[in-house]
Amino acid sequence: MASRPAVKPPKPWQLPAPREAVLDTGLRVLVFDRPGQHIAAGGIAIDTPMNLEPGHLHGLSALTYSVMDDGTLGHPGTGFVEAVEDLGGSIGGAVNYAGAIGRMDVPAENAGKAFALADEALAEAQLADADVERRKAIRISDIEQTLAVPSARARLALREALIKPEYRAAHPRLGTAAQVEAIQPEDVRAFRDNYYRPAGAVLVVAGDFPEDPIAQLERLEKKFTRDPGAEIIHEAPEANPPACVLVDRPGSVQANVLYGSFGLDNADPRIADIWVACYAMGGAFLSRLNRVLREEKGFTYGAHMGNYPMRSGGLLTASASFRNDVAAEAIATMRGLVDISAAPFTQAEVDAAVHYAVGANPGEYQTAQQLVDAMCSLLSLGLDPGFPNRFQQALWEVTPESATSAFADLTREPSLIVVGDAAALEAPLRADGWNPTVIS
Amino acid sequence: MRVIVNPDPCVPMVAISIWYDVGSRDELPGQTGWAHLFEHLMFQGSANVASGEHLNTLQSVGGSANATTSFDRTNYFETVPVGALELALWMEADRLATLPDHLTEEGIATQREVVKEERRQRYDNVPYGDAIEHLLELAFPEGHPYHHSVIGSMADVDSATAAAAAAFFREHYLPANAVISLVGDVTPEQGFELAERYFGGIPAADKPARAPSASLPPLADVPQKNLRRPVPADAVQYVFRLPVRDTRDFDAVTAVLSILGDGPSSRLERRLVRELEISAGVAGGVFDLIGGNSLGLVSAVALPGCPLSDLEERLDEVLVRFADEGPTEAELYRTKVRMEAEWLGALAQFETRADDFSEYATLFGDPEMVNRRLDQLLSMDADDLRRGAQLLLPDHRGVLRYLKEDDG
Repeated sequence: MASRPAVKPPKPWQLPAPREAVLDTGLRVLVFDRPGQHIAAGGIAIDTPMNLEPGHLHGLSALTYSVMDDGTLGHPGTGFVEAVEDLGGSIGGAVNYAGAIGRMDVPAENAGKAFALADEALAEAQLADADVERRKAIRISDIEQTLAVPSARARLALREALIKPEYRAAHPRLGTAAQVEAIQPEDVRAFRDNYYRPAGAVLVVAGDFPEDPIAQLERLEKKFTRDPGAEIIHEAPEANPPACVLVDRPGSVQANVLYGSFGLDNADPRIADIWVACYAMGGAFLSRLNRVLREEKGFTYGAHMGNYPMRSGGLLTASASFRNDVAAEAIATMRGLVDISAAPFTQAEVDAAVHYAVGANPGEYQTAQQLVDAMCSLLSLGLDPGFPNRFQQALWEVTPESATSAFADLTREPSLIVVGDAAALEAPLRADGWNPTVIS
Repeated sequence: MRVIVNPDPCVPMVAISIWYDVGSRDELPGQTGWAHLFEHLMFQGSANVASGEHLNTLQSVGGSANATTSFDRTNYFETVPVGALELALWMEADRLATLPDHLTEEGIATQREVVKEERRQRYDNVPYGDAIEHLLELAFPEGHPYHHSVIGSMADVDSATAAAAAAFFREHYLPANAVISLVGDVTPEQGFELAERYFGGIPAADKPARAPSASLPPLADVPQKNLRRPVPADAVQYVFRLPVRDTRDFDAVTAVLSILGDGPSSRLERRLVRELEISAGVAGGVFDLIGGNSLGLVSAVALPGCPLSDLEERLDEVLVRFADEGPTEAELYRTKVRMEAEWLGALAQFETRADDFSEYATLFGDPEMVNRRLDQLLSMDADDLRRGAQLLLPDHRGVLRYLKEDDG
């Protein structure tokens, strides 16, 4: 057997800066030239925070986006999707609290035609009554599916527990069934007309382009030309007092557990500290939580911890699911581990976290699709394309003390969310000193 | 041991993919779930590597590692900065060479619990999570290698011991039963030299024999099962027996299922979701398998007020019509363009490429198939698809129904 080889340090790597332009419509464009990436990716981050939704119509932003590819004036019905597919393309996207992200992938030689189609959808999606009504019925079914999945149900309960109710981010992204039912087709069209506009939006493209995408976009006779309109205001949510919630899911064979606090956004100076701390607590395979709860005790398939940044603030949470008969003991163990007052993070833990982040970084932007997804998410959260490189730099400044201090400050009194069979879980939790509010 | 190197200096990393030619189809009666449980043990330490160290060490130098078990194979993969390539190979070699001598009852006891938690989390505690087990039972007779799921039964997982695991590793985890692919910032000379250095000393042994797989005909008697469960909506899933993966007929059925059930312009989505508004969502796809048969799947979730019998009747009409008419020219064109984009998109990632090379070397003995597959897919014509669609006629389906518990 050969002897154990030494590891050579990772080669320095930086995410290259994009080429930038602002079109005459006000649309900002970022181009990442990626040699060898023949399937190009395009994404547009549209500045439509969900706090723009009227209070009784949660779910309007997500519903509006879902109808955007249901046909345009030029390509009615499924004609629009078929036109994209004819180019070898596909459509995706995501709608989050901070905004909508429209996505399209096409072979790079078809980029010019894809720009024309995307422009058409953004300007002239039909948003017909029948399409809106059909999407509503499907969305209500989706909402019920989401509520039936215990991990998703737990995440909804966590938001509600951590964020004050006057903020949109405390409430389900897709809205409730009743709220979606109340949305009218004219609400959808008004949301699009008021807020889908080129000024404030950013188009990101990446690939091996035979022709400069900026030149193609400048040449295009653009239909997506709405006026800038009023300034878009993003909410800055505030934290609720700590809570303990048991969501009753009769018959569950596991307890889905989230244990967390209000966390940090990417603009916070402690963002690298909390990233390192979470990696040491619940990111690495032998992180504190996974080592004990999975590898030593066999209580769970996996225990994790992360800080999930919002545009303002974040959700800092440990997560795992445990079989019912060990759930209370596992939760007590989790609580003990998250309380780091007696066991601050060590230099070895910080080094492992930083080396992981630095070494893994190039792989996260390998394909045009990964790059555009990551960039659109950052832009949607209000960050600039230089953020990933600055974050990498900040990681090297993290010390055991700074990671410990940030983590301890943010986890003084976490909230506990448990989704599971209350008949099996409530008594053991109470015996352990928890006082859960049981909801169904 | 076969070694494949594919240089690609686009990022300073290397993807490693090792495939062992053993999966759940190799499990004996009473041993369901063992291949997967034993995959977990590969991370529990070997002669020179402590429990958990494999993953933890690679992560601490910027790498990632994991493993998956399927019906036909077990694969172990790492993505590492080039500076950690040798360490990753050394650890893979250490566990291949020495694992059976370092298993402990304590280690396996913990991983039995971890795997049972995995089963609860992914199958037992989520709506429709048990579908795959029922679909396999509908499609394959008792005793067939694909009759049982990869995760296996709780009882069988509970019965696994360290001695049984050691015997399993000694039988299946052999250089001759493994393929390793290296893709990334490494030259062929470096890759072959490193493979020789770290794996070359492991004693050779014959590849274990496996009985040839019989190919079963399409289902004929419409086997069915109704499940009453706390699901959010009624749903129906069809299963079809198909030819072995990557044959012309299998490829044709894959294309048909894409035209029928993949995306907003697909026939089932257009008919059941857009026009009739009786379904919240449809899907079509395949389980590509090498042992005699593959599987085709079609599923639809009902909207409230639509009985499953109506949904099935309409779904069947779409299947029958396609088998009669075949694809339109536009459908054939779009599905080929899509296959091309998906294939090229997947190969753009070096992890996927490493996986593909090991896959075709393991299952077909021919990694060069990766370079020919796209031409094979694009050479299909409308007649191929019409012929493939005969395998998806309603007479050949197995039916799994989920009925909401509170529907009485």
